[in-house]
Order: sequence, then C-alpha cells, then structure tokens
Amino acid sequence: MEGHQRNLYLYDRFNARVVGVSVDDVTTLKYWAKSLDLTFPLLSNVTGFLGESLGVAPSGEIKGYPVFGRRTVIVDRNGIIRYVRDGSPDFKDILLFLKKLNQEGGRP
Amino acid sequence: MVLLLLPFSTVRAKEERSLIGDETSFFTLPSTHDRAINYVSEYYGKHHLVMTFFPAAFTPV
Amino acid sequence: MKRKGLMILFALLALVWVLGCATLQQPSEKPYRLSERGTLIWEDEFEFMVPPSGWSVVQVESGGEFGFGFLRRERGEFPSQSIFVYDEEPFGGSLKLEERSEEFFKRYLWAAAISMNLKVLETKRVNVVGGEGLAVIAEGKDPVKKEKVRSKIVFGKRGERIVSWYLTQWRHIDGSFDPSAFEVFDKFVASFKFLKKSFYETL
Repeated sequence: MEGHQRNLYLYDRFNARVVGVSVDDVTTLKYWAKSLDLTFPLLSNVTGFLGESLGVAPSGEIKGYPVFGRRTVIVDRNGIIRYVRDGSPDFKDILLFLKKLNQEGGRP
Repeated sequence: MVLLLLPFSTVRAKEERSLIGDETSFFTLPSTHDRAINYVSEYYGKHHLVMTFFPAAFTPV
Repeated sequence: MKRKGLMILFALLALVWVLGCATLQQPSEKPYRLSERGTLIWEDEFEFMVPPSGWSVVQVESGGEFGFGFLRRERGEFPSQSIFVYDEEPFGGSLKLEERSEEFFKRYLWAAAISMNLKVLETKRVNVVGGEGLAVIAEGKDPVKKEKVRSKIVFGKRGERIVSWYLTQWRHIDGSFDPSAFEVFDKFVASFKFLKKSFYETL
C-alpha cells in the first residue's frame, strides 16, 4: 500500500484518487494506516458486498468469514470500470494507465 | 468450511476482462477518515478512482 | 581464437577479483558491468565507484522493488558484517527529506530496531547526487542477544522522489565498529550517478 502513498502526488496530477478496501473493521484499518503513514482512505467493507460486486475472489477465510483476494480496479470519473488486475498492485502499470485515462479527457 | 463459502461460490472471480465497460456499484462505506465515504458525492463525475482490495490489515498487500 | 579466449578469461578473472566472493543471489544474467573508467554500471541506469575486494554484490528486496548493494563479512564474533545498499523506494511516502526520514525509522530494521533500542544520533543536511539530501547516523544495542548495530542513512532526491543509500554494520555487543566500511560507503554515495531519467520522471 505504500506504493500508492508514494504515488499520491502523481495520482493527483492525473485527476485520480485511491482507496484501499478490506473486510477489516475501521479501528484495525486505522492502526494499520497509521503504522504505514497512509493518508488516503481505507474502506471497511465488513460484509464484502463491494468486493463481490467487483468480482474479487475470496482469498480464504479468517475465523470462518471470507476475505478478499488482492485485486485493483480503476473506475473512471464516469463510473465505468476501465482496469482490473488480480494480485498485488502493479504500481507502474497503474500510473501508465492513469496517464492514458487522464489524456482521454482532452486538454482544457 | 465449504458451506461458509457458499454465498461466494456462486460469484466466482469474475474474469478481469468481463468487467471492463461495466458501471461500478455505487457504495457508501465507513472509512479511516472518520466519515462514511460515498462514491457518488466524492468521486463520481469528479475523479478517477483506484480501488485496491486486500485480505487483511498487517499483511502484505 | 586462443588469444580471444585468453582475453575473455583474463577479463572474467579481473571482474571476479574486483568483486571478491561470489554473489549471494546470482541472477541468471549479471545486471552490472565494469566501465573503462573503473566504475560499475548497474543495469545501464546507475554508475558508481567499484568497492574494493572483499565486498560482494547483493540484491535485496525492499518495499517490493529490488535494490542492490554490497556485503562484507568481517572478522569478529557473530554478527560481524557490513552491508550497504541503494534503495530507490525507502520506507515511507513523503516527498520531504525530514518527514521521509521519520517515516523511514518507523520501519527500518523492523523488530530489531525495538529490541536494539535504535536511536538517531545525528542528522545533517548534505549534498548528494548534485542536490539536497539528509545524512542520518543511528545506533542500537541488544543486551539480550548481545548484538549492536551502527547505520548511516543518506536520503536524496531523484526527480521529485526521495531515494536512499544506507549502510548497516552489525557487531557483537563487545566488538568495535569499523570506520573503513563507512569510508567505502561514503565513496559509493559520493560517486553515485544516475545515467538516465527514472520511470517517474518520464511519466
């Protein structure tokens, strides 16, 4: 997740924002965000509905409850899903994609 | 263990490609920023959004 | 044909001699080569003075990316070694030197930092790769494991981002730190050059 934090200034330039999502509760996520000095929001999706709707495969279980696998999804500003990659985020790939996405908008 | 995974078993991991072009689900979720984050009011029509799903805090992502 | 073979053999021997013992993680293709200037060129991207014999190449994973550096096993009771690396993505995320340094020390050496009560002894502004930087000295000791560590971390800028070079020297708690490793490290940093723009600078 630190990769996202290091690239925030570039996401900003490409008119993008980032969130992390897990089934953890907010308190746990807050501790973790603090330990990694993350300034972008982490979302608590305890029931897992968002992951389910975006096709994130459960990666296993903790105490009988399914948890998300790793997946990065990019949604453009019109709400359309444009990029889906399973596994740990490929930060350089994400940046290249956001650069293209930002160029689509046309110059002001 | 299999029974517990049943709700998810009908929703197998959607192929990466099949989601492209679909509209995202709109959501409102609690966040580490002390407020519920609503997709429509924060991002829709304004910013592209990168969402990284991960299994658990304090594990490698 | 024989002469060419001998020349190749000589070049290989020279390379092995210069770099000391075998690499710890041998990649299938060596990512470095010697230049005519006697410097080492790493993946056509970085150039620096070759460390003296006794130091072997290492590739280390840091924050998901591979950094590289040099390791020297030293005389004395366990643990006795020095390792210095170039780390393009040091722990933390800030683009400001002092902030990044603080973030870095929250994670550097992980649990060992806690058990060794790692403390920053000195922080000062320096010049590195032709721009502003920060040099930090830290030390710690673990009376239970009977180990101690002395580190020098240099933060600098590559484009807008913060990069780092750091030396970690481990000793038995009753051993003495060896300044010669720090001299080699200082030369490594002082001679360090970027041969091309980074991925981020070309975005």
